[in-house]
Amino acid sequence: MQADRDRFEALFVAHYAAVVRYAVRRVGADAAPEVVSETFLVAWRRLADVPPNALPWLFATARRIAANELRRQRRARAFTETLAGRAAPEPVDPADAIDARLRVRAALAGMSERDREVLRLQAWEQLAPADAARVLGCTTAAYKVRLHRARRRLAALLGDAQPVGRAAIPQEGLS
Amino acid sequence: MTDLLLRAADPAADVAADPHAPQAQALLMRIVAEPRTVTRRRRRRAVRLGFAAAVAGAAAAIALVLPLTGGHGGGLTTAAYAVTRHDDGSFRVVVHWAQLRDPAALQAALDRAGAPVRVLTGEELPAGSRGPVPACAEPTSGLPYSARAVQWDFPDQASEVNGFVVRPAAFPRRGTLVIEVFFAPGSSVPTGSLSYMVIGRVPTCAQPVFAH
Repeated sequence: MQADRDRFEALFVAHYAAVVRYAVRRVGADAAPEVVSETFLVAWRRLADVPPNALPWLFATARRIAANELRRQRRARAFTETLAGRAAPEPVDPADAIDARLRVRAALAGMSERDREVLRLQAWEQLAPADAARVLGCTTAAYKVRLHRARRRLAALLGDAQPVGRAAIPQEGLS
Repeated sequence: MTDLLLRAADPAADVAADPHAPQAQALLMRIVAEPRTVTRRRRRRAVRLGFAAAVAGAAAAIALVLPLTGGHGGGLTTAAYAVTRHDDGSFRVVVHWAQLRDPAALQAALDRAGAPVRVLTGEELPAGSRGPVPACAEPTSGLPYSARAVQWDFPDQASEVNGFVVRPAAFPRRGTLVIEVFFAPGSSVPTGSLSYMVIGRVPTCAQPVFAH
């Protein structure tokens, strides 16, 4: 057991920051700790299944947990909107309202989840194609094709994007 | 250009996460205090399925049923495994773990049937023991697979007999199902097994597992 614990602690230290950032990007800062905790708990319980190149495995696990969390958030939001009788307002930082980041996030929000995740893994997690493919459960070749197409679609969306106002603030994460 | 814009839009670009910070260390301590739920028995994909029923259901196509003896010079007791190829390209595999003395023979049967399945053997070592990971197992990076690709009858039920259907058409391209069978040192009776999908190169041996 001590060997398992040593291995897990080394894995935790090596990948904690990357998993935290992955979770923040998918579910936001408030819900990220829960996703991080669940991800490493799964890794602890299934340590024998964690491959030597652990990060893609951790991201794939976090991805499933984040998807559950986002479903929960959507249900909660729908409930709130029902109670209020109208759409709940989205938080906006006025200083960012004309920022290019919002245009990119709005464009991302307009894409399919598959396109979003391919782009995020490449640009934000900065995974090599083989590792990103492991996260998605596809071949490296398929990942590259998806990435190429997603980039083209994002470029098209950014080219067509209008200045973003309050109503266009995106919902980050999985759909 | 889009990559630069994307990176600039990273909502976690400024997130600092120190694994040595008190909050992170508290999380680590909470996790390692949790009981390990993956036990030797639960690692086994198992199903309580009668061997005769499996053979009776193998009405279509080629049936490769290779019975083994009990190993004491006695008569035929039961088949260790059965591999059946169906008309739709799927395969039905039944394994009687307690009788499986020769995983290589099971591999040969799978190969003859054309099933994209690789059977590897590994050691189940005593808890707390240490040992080098064989070089041949290093590249192993198992992926989960869909229930459509490999459908176990009762995947979480421990039993001495197990059955599953393999549908290569639902595999990822260049995918191979790997089944690792573990034996305690010096024993010829499997103590457990696990399965996963690999894409491309297939490992040639299993990493050892440790009893809990």
